[in-house]
Amino acid sequence: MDNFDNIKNIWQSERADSLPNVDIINMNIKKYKSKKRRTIFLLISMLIICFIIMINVWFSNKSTLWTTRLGEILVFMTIAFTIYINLKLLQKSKAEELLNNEAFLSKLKKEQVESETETKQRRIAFAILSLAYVFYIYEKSAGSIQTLITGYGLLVAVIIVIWFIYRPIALKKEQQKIARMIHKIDSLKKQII
Amino acid sequence: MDFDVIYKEFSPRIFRVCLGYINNYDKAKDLTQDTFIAVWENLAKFREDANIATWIYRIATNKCLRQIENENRSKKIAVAPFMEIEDHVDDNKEAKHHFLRDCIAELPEMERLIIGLYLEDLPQEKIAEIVGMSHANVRVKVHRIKEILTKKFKTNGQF
Repeated sequence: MDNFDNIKNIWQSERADSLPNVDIINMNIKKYKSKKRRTIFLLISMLIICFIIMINVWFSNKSTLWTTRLGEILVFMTIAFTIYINLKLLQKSKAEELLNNEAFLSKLKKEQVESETETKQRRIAFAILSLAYVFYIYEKSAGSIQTLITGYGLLVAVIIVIWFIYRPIALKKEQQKIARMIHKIDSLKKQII
Repeated sequence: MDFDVIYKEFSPRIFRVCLGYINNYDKAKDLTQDTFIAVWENLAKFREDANIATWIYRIATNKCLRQIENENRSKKIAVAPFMEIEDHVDDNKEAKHHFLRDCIAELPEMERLIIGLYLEDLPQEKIAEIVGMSHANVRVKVHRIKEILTKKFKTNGQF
């Protein structure tokens, strides 16, 4: 028996008896499965509820201006779009885990680049919602100059905070995280060559 | 292929490979569990003519690599005390386990995986298949890692 066989014996005698037994694993799989189903159910329910509320608002709100109607449609579009993004994320395939390590790392790198697309989609959703607000409050605030200034002033303030304070910080952090990940993936890929 | 049988047969091996990579007992347990959830999810995609061990190790090693998404991963992982072990465990044996884990933790990530698979008696061509590296390259790496580990064990009087 050579020295490395001794090392192999040490390795293979490592105890693994505190690992959960198969019943607990099966139970955890069931929990995982039902959690996934529950989230999908919740998202679809939210979409249906929002649709019902929108129909109700459409018929109960006797608006005379097209701007209000457009605002309502845009709100619904934003909600539907957001739910769609979340559903898509939930159904994202984990098939890449079946690839070899080299191909898996390439896929992981691609995922990092694509995560920027998801951020863009969320930004679009926010822009549509802001636009919806602009149209929706017009009818309610057009009668008084004070309400008009308050309503649109509030929107401008929110946009300034999000666009010029929150967004640059969040964007910088996210880009740093992506760059760090890509750097780490590249260094792992170099180890494979 | 029955999931329960697969779990019973492969979970200790997968656990050791994950422990070799992450050098943290609790995280290795979590990685083992995540691996088997993925195995269960993808079992229908498994082709009967393929090698089940290679297939499972591929999932496990990818789960390990995915750890880089965890920001704290870049920091040196502290070796968790070997808890939940009863009194009758041989201290000397445990010290050797600990020493081996520490030696492996000093290797680059991919080498940690390669040596873990090798210590699980996986043929080098299968390791090459899992990692996505040429057989010749795996052979060179295994040889180098074996030398490093043997030297460290000798220097520290662990044999």
